[in-house]
Amino acid sequence: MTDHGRRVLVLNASVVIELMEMSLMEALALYKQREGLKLLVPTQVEGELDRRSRDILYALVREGLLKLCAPPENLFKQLRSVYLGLGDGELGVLALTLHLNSMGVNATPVLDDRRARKVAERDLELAPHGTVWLVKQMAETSSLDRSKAISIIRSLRDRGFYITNDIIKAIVDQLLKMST
Amino acid sequence: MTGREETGIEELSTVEKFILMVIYARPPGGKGGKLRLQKIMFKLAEVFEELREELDFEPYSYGPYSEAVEEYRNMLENSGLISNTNLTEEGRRLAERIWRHADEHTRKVVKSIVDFMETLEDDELLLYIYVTSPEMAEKSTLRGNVMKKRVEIALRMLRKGVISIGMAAKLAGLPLNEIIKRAVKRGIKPFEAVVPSN
Repeated sequence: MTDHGRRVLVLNASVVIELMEMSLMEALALYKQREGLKLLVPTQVEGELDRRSRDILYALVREGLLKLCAPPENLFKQLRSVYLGLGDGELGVLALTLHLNSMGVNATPVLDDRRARKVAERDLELAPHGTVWLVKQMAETSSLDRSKAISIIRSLRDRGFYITNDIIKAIVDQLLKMST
Repeated sequence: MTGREETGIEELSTVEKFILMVIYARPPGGKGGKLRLQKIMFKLAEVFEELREELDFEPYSYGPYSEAVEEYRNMLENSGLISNTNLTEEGRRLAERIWRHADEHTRKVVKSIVDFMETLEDDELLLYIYVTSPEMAEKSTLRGNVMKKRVEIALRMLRKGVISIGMAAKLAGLPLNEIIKRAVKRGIKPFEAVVPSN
């Protein structure tokens, strides 16, 4: 492993899809470069995407933005046998993160699904991040225009996110405070 | 009192202990029943080798079925420890002891599988089994009907919060992008947004 000391984010398919749909891949590339991150996607995600999204994913892998990585089979199977309600991509994210952490790598899962996040936090003692965190990070590092970040946060409710007005206000306030 | 001695843990086989644990772990409001017991034992046999060796699951009309599970269930019923798939008073006392003696991993796996499968409606349970273990659906008489409604069933499960968006896509037989679109269209919100703490 050559990732000791380098921060690794393990992204789930739904996060990648959201970033693609919101045209945030350029901002993600800038953020990755500025923070010296490594962005991994578990191989299980390939099977969850439609052809168009899979082609985009492969293009991003070729460009070096994302790297496809397989979690250890045994660990993946072990999690799958316990967490029956989770899909392979989500289990792949959790297995890969647990594996990297056990190797001393600073890895964080990036997941939006409520059930998967609950398993990560409650059972696996992981501290997952999500699209909202990523958008805020991109804005904070000037990888993403602040007004675009705010407009994205305000659109999340229409994109399948459970988000209250208070949470929207709190995040927008954080974004507004950033450069003042 | 009849004077009959209570059954001891050491008198039970591995399968019987697991059956008692499964019933003991059933959450309040859990559905129970023989069909569900078969499916839970099937999933447990995928994890525990000692069960796999004992239980020979075969594809039947409702998916995976093991005659051994039914035989052991009958033996527990004849011993007065269960009635159908419910614990008797004596059965509860014994199951509690078995549960306490089981290691943490076993308890965690049993609880997780039972919690999940006991909350599912019958069509949800069958869809889950048919999709995740297709080899066990070969002889199913209900497969066609269930699979015809797979998208509806998967979205219902997603709305209830019993499965993730990834599992919903798998059960529905759709790519993730498509199930997200359909979920959003129906007002289902599978994603969680929290205020980042940096």
